[in-house]
Amino acid sequence: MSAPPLLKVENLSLRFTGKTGSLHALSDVSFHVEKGEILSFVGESGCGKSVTAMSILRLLPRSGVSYPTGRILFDGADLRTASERQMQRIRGGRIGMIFQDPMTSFTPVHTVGMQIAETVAQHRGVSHGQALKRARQMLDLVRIPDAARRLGAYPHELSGGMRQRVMIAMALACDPELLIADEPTTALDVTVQAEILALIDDLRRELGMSVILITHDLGVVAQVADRVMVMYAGRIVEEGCIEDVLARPSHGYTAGLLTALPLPGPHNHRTRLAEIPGAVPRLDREIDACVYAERCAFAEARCRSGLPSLAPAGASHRAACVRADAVAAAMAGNDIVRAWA
Amino acid sequence: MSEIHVALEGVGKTYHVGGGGMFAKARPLYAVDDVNLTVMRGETLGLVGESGCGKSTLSRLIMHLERPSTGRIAFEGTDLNAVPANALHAARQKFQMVFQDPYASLNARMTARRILAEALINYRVGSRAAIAARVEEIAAVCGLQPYHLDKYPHELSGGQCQRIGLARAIALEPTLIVADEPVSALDVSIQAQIINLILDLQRQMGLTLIFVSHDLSVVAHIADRVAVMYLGRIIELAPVFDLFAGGAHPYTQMLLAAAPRPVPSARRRGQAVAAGELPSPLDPPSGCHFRPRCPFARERCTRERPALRPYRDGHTVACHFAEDIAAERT
Ligand SMILES: Nc1ncnc2c1ncn2[C@@H]1O[C@H](COP(=O)(O)OP(=O)(O)OP(=O)(O)O)[C@@H](O)[C@H]1O
Ligand SMILES: Nc1ncnc2c1ncn2[C@@H]1O[C@H](COP(=O)(O)OP(=O)(O)OP(=O)(O)O)[C@@H](O)[C@H]1O
Ligand code: SF4
Ligand SMILES: [Mg+2]
Ligand SMILES: [Mg+2]
Repeated sequence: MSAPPLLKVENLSLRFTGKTGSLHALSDVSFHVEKGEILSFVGESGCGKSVTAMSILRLLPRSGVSYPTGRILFDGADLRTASERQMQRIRGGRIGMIFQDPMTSFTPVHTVGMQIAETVAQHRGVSHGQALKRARQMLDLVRIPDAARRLGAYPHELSGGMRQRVMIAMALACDPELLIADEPTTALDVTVQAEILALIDDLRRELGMSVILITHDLGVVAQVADRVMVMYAGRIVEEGCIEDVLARPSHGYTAGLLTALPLPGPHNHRTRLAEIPGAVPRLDREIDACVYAERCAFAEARCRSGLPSLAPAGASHRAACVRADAVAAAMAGNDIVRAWA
Repeated sequence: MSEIHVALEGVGKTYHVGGGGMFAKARPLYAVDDVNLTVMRGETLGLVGESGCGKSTLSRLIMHLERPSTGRIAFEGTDLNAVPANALHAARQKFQMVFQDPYASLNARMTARRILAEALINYRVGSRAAIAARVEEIAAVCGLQPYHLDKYPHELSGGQCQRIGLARAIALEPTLIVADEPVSALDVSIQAQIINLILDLQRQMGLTLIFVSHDLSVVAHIADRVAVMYLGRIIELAPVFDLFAGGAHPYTQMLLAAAPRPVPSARRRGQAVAAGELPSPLDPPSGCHFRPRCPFARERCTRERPALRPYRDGHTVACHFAEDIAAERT
């Protein structure tokens, strides 16, 4: 038998309750991340990708958030019931996190060097001097030019892309076993993006670091991830290894995503792109149907008459779509799918 | 006939960084360095380049949110940095900016209706009733329902907020929009909606658009011409198809090669990426700024700064050896 996965999330459901009612932000989300594996999350804006990441680290506010079901097993221990002290040791230590909005993870009043050094000193118990040295090393590693001088920069003095790299440096500074990276390279140009992805990949291979990579760039997913998890309206709608999912997309929403990408070539220039009509359903109650049915090009009556369960769609591939075969067949002509078939 | 909408002549912006506290004295940082550029009316210019190369700074200069340290910017023929403040205020109606972060760029304490009305009230474009009607009209043009208007930014999705950002930008019927990474924070299906909306608005209003993005496939889709920046300078400027057919500058070639594409051949995990030292804008390399990363660099590149010069029809490049490199590649 192979080793148990580093992270195992089981049947996680999450609700936000506020003045305006309740929001079923996550419904029955189950997945795992193996040691040394890169799992990517993709999906509609607001589908729960960041919330999933934040609940692993218990960073959501306590009030107004409830978990009707679920366990989050990290190295065997349930993080849902861990003490706050234990969580403080894990956050920034065994689990590193790169946040979607770099500005929120820095204080404006300290230099970036101070901020990285503080994280290092806190988790490693090293001297301030050693921590600053480590900070400098990390800035070099994420390819911040003139790192020594940039240690003294305040966050607002850096370009968007540089702030992003500083945050990546901070997340990696304590050699985490799991890195949760929420849109880590969105603000970077593609050459630096390629280098950061290569760096993450090196750490994965050399140190066995596991990665959850949240991104809406399917190019990035295809380039570095082992598996992909497609989410929609708080649910996993399709999941599997990259090769299988891209060669045989089996959920209406995955098909919609692939179709919406701009295509290269002069005859496509400035043409209208394929939109997904309509909007995400309101999540104020359980939906007893496919969550995507209202917008799906493949929907039939049975899509609306019950919640499709995640069923095998290939060797290492599952989809929650009653029309999985029809979707895969219709997508066979898509340029991206043809490239993977 | 096409007509010049914005013209930049020798535009530069210098910041002073460091200084104060524990680190040495302030040093000049040439965020934008001697940029010459004309944008034609109705044109869509894509602006790409490495992070920190000055795209946002250049955008703010064109929006007159900051003053250039050197050079001049003529908007519809007038240097607005040389006119009185009230004339600049009046001219601001004609150019508007859309930002990357839809939440951060909208006032969190105002409803969408209030955000849109604010711009109109500011310019006293009519009676209260006229403004209220106009708000609903532009919201509809941008694909927003009336009930969206009564929501606060945090109650709306990223895509809806970006629609409000666009609606606010077009409210005063500008002739130029600078969009700084307007779709970077959005998933691809919402990205498609916003790009379609931008295309529609351009067709209806004849808008000139400067579109900043790291996503080359989006730039290839929407731009007529593309400017590539590196460390404060424009290093290549070309019609979109010429640029995406390969590019003449070694940095452009490196960008195109690094663009992630969802195809199996792009799966090159573990393989080292052609790297080279990233230069510091505080201590830029002599001669050609790209020299330390350039596989084709020769002695002359250390000595002499390459000027942005004609390469082909409508295509300029700042590389001493672009022709040799092109010949070598074929
Ligand atoms: N603190 C909160 N209180 C109430 N609702 C919240 C809170 N945080 C997130 N939500 C809601 O939970 C849902 C999931 O949000 P989440 O941020 O996880 O989306 P996402 O998949 O990361 O989207 P994006 O791609 O736009 O980042 C959304 O409807 C969001 O509005
Ligand atoms: N207010 C400021 N003070 C000091 N330096 C600044 C300031 N604003 C920008 N800079 C510097 O100017 C350079 C250009 O920054 P700018 O934000 O224009 O880059 P960019 O091309 O938009 O980058 P990105 O793609 O990462 O957004 C960077 O080196 C940045 O650190
Ligand atoms: S001028 Fe020289 S260093 Fe610069 S891009 Fe051309 S060959 Fe390379
Ligand atoms: Mg998110
Ligand atoms: Mg920028």
